[in-house]
Amino acid sequence: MMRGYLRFLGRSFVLSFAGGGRYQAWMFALTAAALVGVNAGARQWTAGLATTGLSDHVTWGIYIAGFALAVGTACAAVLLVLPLYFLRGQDLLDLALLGAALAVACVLAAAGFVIADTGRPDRVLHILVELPWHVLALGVFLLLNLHVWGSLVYCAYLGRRPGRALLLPFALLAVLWAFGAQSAASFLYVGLGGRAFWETPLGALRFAAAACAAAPAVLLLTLLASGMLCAAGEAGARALRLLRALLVAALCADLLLCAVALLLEFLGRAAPRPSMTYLYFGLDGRFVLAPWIWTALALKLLAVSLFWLSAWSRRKVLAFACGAGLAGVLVEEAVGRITPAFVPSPLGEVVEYAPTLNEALVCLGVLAVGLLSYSVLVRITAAVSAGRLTSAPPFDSCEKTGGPS
Amino acid sequence: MRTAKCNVGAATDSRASGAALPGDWRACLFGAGFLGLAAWFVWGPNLAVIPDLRGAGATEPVLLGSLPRSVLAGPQGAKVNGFLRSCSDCHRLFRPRAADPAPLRLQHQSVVVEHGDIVACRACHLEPGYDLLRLKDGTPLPYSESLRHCLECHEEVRGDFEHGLHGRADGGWDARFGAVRHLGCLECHDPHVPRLPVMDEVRPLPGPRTLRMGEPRAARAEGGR
Amino acid sequence: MSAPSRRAFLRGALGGAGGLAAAAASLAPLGKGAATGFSLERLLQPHYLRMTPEELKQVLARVEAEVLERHGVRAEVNDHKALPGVEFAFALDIDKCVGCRRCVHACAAENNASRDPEIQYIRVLELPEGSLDLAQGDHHYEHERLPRAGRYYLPIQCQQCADPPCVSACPVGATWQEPDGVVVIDYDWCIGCRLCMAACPYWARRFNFAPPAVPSSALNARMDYLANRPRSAGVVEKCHFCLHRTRAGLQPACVEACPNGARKFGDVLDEGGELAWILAHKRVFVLKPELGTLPRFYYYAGEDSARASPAAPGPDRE
Repeated sequence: MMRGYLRFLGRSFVLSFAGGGRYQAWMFALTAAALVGVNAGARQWTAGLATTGLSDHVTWGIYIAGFALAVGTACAAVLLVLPLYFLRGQDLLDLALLGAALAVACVLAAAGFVIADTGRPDRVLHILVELPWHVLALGVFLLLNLHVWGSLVYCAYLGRRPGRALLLPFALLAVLWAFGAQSAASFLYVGLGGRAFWETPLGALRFAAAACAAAPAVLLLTLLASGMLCAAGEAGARALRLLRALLVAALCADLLLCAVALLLEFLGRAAPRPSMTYLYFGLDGRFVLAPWIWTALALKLLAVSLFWLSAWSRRKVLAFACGAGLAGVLVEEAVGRITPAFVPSPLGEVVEYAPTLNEALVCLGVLAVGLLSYSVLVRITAAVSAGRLTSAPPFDSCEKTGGPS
Repeated sequence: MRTAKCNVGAATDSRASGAALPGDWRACLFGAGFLGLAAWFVWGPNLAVIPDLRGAGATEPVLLGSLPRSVLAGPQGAKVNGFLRSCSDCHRLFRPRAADPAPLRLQHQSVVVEHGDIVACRACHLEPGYDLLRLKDGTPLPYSESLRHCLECHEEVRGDFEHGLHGRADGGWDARFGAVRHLGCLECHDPHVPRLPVMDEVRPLPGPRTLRMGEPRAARAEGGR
Repeated sequence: MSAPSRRAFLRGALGGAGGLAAAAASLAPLGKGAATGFSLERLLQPHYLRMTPEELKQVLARVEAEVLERHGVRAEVNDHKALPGVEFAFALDIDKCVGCRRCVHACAAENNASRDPEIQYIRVLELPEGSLDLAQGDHHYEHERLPRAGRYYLPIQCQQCADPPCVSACPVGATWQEPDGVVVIDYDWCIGCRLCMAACPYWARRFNFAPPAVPSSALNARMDYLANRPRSAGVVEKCHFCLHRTRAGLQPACVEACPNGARKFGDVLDEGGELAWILAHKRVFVLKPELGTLPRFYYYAGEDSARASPAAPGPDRE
């Protein structure tokens, strides 16, 4: 039993390195990007956070935005996909696996963003000593998802149906826990007094809608890129339809909430909050963010209209629409969730923030680490679900699982 | 259509695509790429730059230990030809005209009186002689007791002053840590021009030069001073 | 068969070695030494509140040694505890403040705050008379003479809230409220996440974005562990009511520097004290009372001031 499991781990490890030219080039690019990020992070640690675009006025930038989005996506992936698997049928196993894998990778990326953001990464241990509840929530969430993904994959590898007792309670807990982790991310800032920008119930909803759009978009792109659709056949098509429906619904909800927020802000209030004015139209002649937020909105509208135009039946259009939606969400989260709360400052000063090159490289590195772990998990998942990685001896030949021979 | 796609998908897998470039050569290529990256890390340009903040000419702002304070609280008099004279040395002989014109033409030209409605010297200085102050009812009062003299009109300050609020104090924040000395009226106010004259003589210290700070609002809103 | 496979292995190994070399080289900047002044001794140091007296003594000695090494100054690093039965509070007469910024610079000098980039705990706002809309404030006014007519000056620093949002925001408990009401930071426990800065509604906290630069000649050698000892890059700092001075009975540096006596500092629990008199007799206000932070920093406008009387002309009246 134990030896079998170790053998599974070993073969998975080999598999994560082995692959065709495109896979290896992709992994090389990600590794290189991750190293560039590590290098930029080391430079940041050497010279201080002055190398970022942050200031005493705007103390949080794309690191925390990335953290929030990563956590949100992780939670959305679990929230949307695991119930589908348990309620709508066993043929969505691949999707459940991908969802859990995405959650794991996203939590890792979130941790990377936090470490990039702290001024004293050497003292990150203090977080573990004190164990604040948001870290506890994320840590348990990571473990739950690792367990769900691992046990599902391992059972598929063994060719067994997963034991309900071992899986279901944890999967259920993971789904419930996703709510907790989601609030851990959004309440990291929503609960802070004195920042009017975050003091709105719409904020948490909009954040959730954006995350719920990001997760299916990533999963859809994964399905399209990894070739898992073909192996899955009719089930794959069903997964695709479900994901598309989720993505369209989330994007529509996001756009609707955005419209509501804008209407409430600029028509429903006697005086719009300065941060919102700054974000959408600029304040005191400063408007670094405004073009970006409108771009994000346009990208989302483009994605939704592409889906509505029913041209989605062509894979390339579908991929493009997904990409546009994902880009819209990424841009909006990078620009519109964290930074505007700091402009103007609590004392009314308007100081703008734009990330520096080094800061962007660190972000790139963290994203690469997340994608790297996600790619490995997806590769193992795909191999297992296609029957290429299995404990059953008849199909276990070295040319299917072996390394670059 | 789907099957065709599937073949493309399968082509990305380990078996098919090795034909273009053998796996080990690919590893070689990646190794070279990594080495290039390593070289860039070590010898490449440093992208992590910190903006120059203070500039070359920045110096420590000079903090005046003690501000120039009026010394009017001391014994009064004037230096005439290098000798300290008391007021009565002159005013025994020269008596100001009854009308007390506000801008004095011959003597005390430096004295400007901007003290509410008061224009007459005699309102505060005791005639004749001018060696003493006078209360409203004419009671003589030495200059050292100017506090009583001031409070006679500025009764509203009395509460604050007696509780140590009106002006600044030297010493600790509580008497149990040592003597607290509250400054007298004339250490900050020129009795002739009582509005805080001290600050007119002291330039304000420079504004912040912190990291990525804002800029003067006035410069933007009003188009300069 | 064996020769080609060996060659293939070598090529594969080249890929791996290249990766390892790149990984090692990516960390090359660390060779220049981290800005954070990393040391194992500091890393293993416990939280201030959990230190035994012996540990605390060692830590204070270590800080003194560090100051000596870095600045060549023999510093005295104390650990003044809160005075029993004392709750510090601050009152500021906005009628007397002329915006000269003496407090700002005295504070920086007293607290060994970084000069480049500048870190200042006090920000003085120039506001139009009659307005408390901070958005109209000018932080960067530079005038020949002060005060300007029609303007008043509002210095803002840490309000030492009785219900401080920054303290509850800190994920590692590196900032807390002392029995005398002062919110302090253990600079050696802070991880630099800046949550407290996002939580502070008064913009009172400052972050060491770069290694703080304090000229050794200007170093204030009288230090306290929780107060003005040198900070490192990557940690948060803020006004601490000069506790290294005030717990020894002295006035805070900003009070001492204020030429006009606009600043009053004391024990709010002392019924005969200045603070109690101000709270009882003045029309006192606090900033952003709607947030429920209960600041211990009170502002008032003394009705007796010479500026308030209409007969007194402003200095730059035409």
